[in-house]
Amino acid sequence: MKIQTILILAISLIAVKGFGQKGEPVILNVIYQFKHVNDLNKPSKPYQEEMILHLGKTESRYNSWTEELKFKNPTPIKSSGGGGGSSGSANKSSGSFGFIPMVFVDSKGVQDFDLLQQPAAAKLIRIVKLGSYNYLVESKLPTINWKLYEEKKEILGYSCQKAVGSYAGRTYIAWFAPSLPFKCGPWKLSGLPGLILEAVDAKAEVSFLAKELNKSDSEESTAARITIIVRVSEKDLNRATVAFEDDPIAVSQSQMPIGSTATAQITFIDEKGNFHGGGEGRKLFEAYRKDLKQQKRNPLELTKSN
Amino acid sequence: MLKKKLFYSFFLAFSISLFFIGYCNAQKKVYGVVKATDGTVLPYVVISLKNSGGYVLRYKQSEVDGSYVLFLPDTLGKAFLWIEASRLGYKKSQQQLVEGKDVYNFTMEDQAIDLKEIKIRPKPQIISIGDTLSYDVASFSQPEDRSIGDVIRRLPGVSVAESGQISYNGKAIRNLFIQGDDLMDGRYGLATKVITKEMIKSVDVMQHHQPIKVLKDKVLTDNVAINLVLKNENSLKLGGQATLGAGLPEQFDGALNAIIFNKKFKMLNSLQANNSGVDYLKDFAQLGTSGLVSNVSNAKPAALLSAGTVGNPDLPKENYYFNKTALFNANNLYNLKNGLQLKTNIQTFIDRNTLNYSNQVANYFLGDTIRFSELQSAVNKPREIQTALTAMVNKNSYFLNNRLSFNASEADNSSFIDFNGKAFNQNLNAHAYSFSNDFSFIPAIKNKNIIDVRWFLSYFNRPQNLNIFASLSQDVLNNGLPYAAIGQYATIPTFYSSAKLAYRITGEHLIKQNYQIGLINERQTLNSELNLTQLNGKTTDYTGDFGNNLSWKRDRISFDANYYIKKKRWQASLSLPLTAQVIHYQQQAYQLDSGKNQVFINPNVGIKLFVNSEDYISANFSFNNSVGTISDVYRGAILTNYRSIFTNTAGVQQKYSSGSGLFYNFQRSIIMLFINAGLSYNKIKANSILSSELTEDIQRTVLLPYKNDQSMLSANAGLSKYLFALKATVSLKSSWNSARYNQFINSAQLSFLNNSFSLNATIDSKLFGKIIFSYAGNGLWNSSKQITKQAININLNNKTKRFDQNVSLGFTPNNRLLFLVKGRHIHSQQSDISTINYLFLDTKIRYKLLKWRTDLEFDLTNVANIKTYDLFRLSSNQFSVSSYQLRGRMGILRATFIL
Repeated sequence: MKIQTILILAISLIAVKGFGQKGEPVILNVIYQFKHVNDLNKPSKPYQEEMILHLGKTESRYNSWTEELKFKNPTPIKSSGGGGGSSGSANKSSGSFGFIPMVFVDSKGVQDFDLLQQPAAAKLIRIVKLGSYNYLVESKLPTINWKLYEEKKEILGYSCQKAVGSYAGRTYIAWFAPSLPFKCGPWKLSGLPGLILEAVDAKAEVSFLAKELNKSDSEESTAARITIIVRVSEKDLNRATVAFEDDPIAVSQSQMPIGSTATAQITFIDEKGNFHGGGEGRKLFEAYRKDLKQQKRNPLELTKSN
Repeated sequence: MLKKKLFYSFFLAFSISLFFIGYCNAQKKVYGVVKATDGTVLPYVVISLKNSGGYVLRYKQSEVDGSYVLFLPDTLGKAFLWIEASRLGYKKSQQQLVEGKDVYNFTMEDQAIDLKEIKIRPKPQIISIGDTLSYDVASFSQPEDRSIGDVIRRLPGVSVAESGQISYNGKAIRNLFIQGDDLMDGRYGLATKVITKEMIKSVDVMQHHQPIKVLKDKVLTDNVAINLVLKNENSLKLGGQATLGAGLPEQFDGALNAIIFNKKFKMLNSLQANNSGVDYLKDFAQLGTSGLVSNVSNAKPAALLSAGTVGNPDLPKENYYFNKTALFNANNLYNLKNGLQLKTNIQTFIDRNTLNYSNQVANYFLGDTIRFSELQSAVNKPREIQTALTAMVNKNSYFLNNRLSFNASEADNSSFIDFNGKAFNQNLNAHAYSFSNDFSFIPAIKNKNIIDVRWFLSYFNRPQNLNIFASLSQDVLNNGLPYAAIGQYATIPTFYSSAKLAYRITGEHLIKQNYQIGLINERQTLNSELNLTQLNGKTTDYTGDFGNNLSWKRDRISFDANYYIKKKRWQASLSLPLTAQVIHYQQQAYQLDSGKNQVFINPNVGIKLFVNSEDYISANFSFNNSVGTISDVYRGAILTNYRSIFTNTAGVQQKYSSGSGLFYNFQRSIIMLFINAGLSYNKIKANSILSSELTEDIQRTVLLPYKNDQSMLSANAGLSKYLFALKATVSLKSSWNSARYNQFINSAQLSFLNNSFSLNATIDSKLFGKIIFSYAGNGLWNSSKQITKQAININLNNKTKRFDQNVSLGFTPNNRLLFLVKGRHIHSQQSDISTINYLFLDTKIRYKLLKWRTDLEFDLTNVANIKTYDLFRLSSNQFSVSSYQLRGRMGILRATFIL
């Protein structure tokens, strides 16, 4: 009992302050098709999602493009001719995102909501939504010892050079464009003298393929999309993640204010990124959990990162 | 051991240094500084070493001071190598390496980036546009859902309370709009039950909602509203449903609902009847605000006369509501071409219900205890009509709203009473009429600031007649002579007007300001007559006084300044309402011609400090100067019920109250621990005190001009924790309250101390799969005692304990079937009386016939067939035990067809 109290106090000292990060104006957006064979029993059915890398002068933010669009102002349809105009409200919508109290359960498990690379400060910042709370874990940006090869290939009209490097138990074959001098890259990959437009692991289980590059609206920023964030340690987050994946309703319920009569409801996000609420959501979630048990799980990070 | 270590370290250091010497000798390097054309140094420039094939061989990034150092592979000569500097936004720059030259500086020219346009994706199920969250009904509804209320219940973040009140993220919504129109005028309970999901395309939750177009983006609100977006806003189709239910013993339940919704015309009309305990007052309860403007109406004067002395039991109304009720609820709205909107809301309610109870009261005095024994069997026949007509124009240039309302009701209560062994009949009849008009005009003015004009006018009257057919308290009421009956008439017709003019300074100022000037006028008369029917059949007036014909005038002008400031981690608000008030009241028969003129300020300060992203401390202080009402100054006696007489000898009651509170919120969401704690202290100083005199059959209460201080200290704390091991949330709440107050009882001023402590525990384990389990328990410890000051001491030291526990267990084998069992256990204990225990059990089975568009539901309530319910009440020197008649076991089967 005493030890527990001390532990709680110790943690409470670590978990302080919100996240006041400004970010940089976005210069370029890259949309990647991300594939991951997360179940070795079903190599032909990899998990797929469109991801977006927002690149600033020196920093970047990487997140799900499908999800970002879901909560983005749909008005760009109007402004498609003239461009611009949508970004103001898009920023606003990301502000209100933090207040959506839905219990999202994603078919791909708890994922990083935002992943920020700050090479100048050698920082990697993960932002994770868990129930109705947003958490931030800061770590060192992984240094990948890339080996450059004299091989070339053209991706989306950009000449790319081959580089090979290892990270978290996988060896990645990456293709970078020296004419796009960004140090940041998709997911946790970075550190090449040009933007990584393609990265595939040696076993072909994980791949990031750029499918579209676009110029950003002036007001977009590489900052985290949520400002109400609790800074936590990786260990605490991992424990909470395990509990959440096991019983998201109970965890969300416990996050509500004392005496709250509101009942948490599950919203299951299927593989296509569609939302299912209420009974259907719960049913799909149960089916998904059953399926999980039969899976031969193949995590993205095979070993603890360096 | 130590030697060995030393040797190793030495060896290691030696080999490292050897390696470095060799390495450095082999390395060739180039270096330099990168600058922009204007001479400023450029950091983060990628410096790549390329070969003739264009491949990058080595690379580096320029430092913050623009410098770089790049080591060359020793295997290569400098010939046919290039060094390239690139950075987005600058023109790429290259230099060929020259043998013998190591320094390569770069000057980079600006260059714009040219890339493609943004891509557009299909519309998702939940869209967030600014502060609006739009839920697609088709994606969130289930085949078995019928009403939009069923779908709203499923929406993540939205909850629906037992009363029908909808909340988003714990905050009650202010309006429920149907395609932007507030058809139900805030009484939306019926709408969510009756509107089918097929009619609605999306449910839009609007946060920080400002419905008044003129104030949009100028006056921020914290309000949440819901808009039901119609699938077809031009539909002329009639929709709705019919319900038929029957059960034992002798139960029926029926409803017919008709709906038409389109852009120009909206209608929702309903006709319902039942005798199965269903309370229709819920259907038209005011859950949100009526219309778009906040409520400014006055509180109606409380009824002076009552039929009984006991309140309702603390059980759901279905348990004790013996009824036969019919309701007609009509809501119609028209949108005219010129922007004018007309709306009528009419509710007609007819009911006949019965209430049976018995009550034992013990009043403790100096060495004496006076006991009342009462039994009442009452038949209530309330009838009510409520009408409202609203005209509104809501444009960008101005907002205009006028709501005219007229309500009439009649309540007839006939009861048989046994009071201290004396049996008699009694009748209380009340007619109430009210009229009100609410006008609001908000024009936009050029400098972006806002003017707000509001005028509310109302008239209310509720004449009451209480006739008691017995000779009660003849010593007090009829000079000791027995009589046949007594009649009390009382009413307070009230005219009220409230006008205000506000000026808001909008724009981006650090301190937000709002100034308002308000004028309130109140005119009242309190009329009452007490008549006695003598044994010879003649009616005579009560001879103790002249009755009441008291006139009351209250005029008040106030100037209110509000300031709000938010800076970094601090938030503060200050309100300074300065008020001048003139009160005058008179009744010549008592040579009463008095008043009160005063100027006062009721300041309110609040401050909040965010300690970190999860914790905050808040404190508030308020001082309030309030004055009593006409009910404090009438001189003639009023028989408020068969055993109470009220009268006053004091002037208008003056109350100075101050309140301060401190609140701390602590949370560590990552370990799922939430703690909050609060402390508050309230003090009231009043210039008059209630004095009661009790005899065997009557309580006479007088308001006397003596100082009266009251104080209350309360503390509360709550804790909620997720138990990782049990996968369940446990929450505990406790509060402690200590109140000191005075009372004059039988000419002795007594001070009382009331202490109460409550503890609340809940466990919620919503197990996945087919079983739902929840528990909620509440414990209450209450004690009341007299504080001994002098030798006077009544022997009162009462303690009560009460435990109320709820368990519910549900089973859902599939989506169409639900089986639910609920249990509630109540345990009460009082120091002198034996304990009371109850166990209530309810069950419910629901089945959806999808093809027939019909829901079948069977409810079996009060399975144990409990027919009476006892309840303890404890206050100052009084202790009572009430026993109520309950509905007993009931079973009812309902079928609902969707039109």
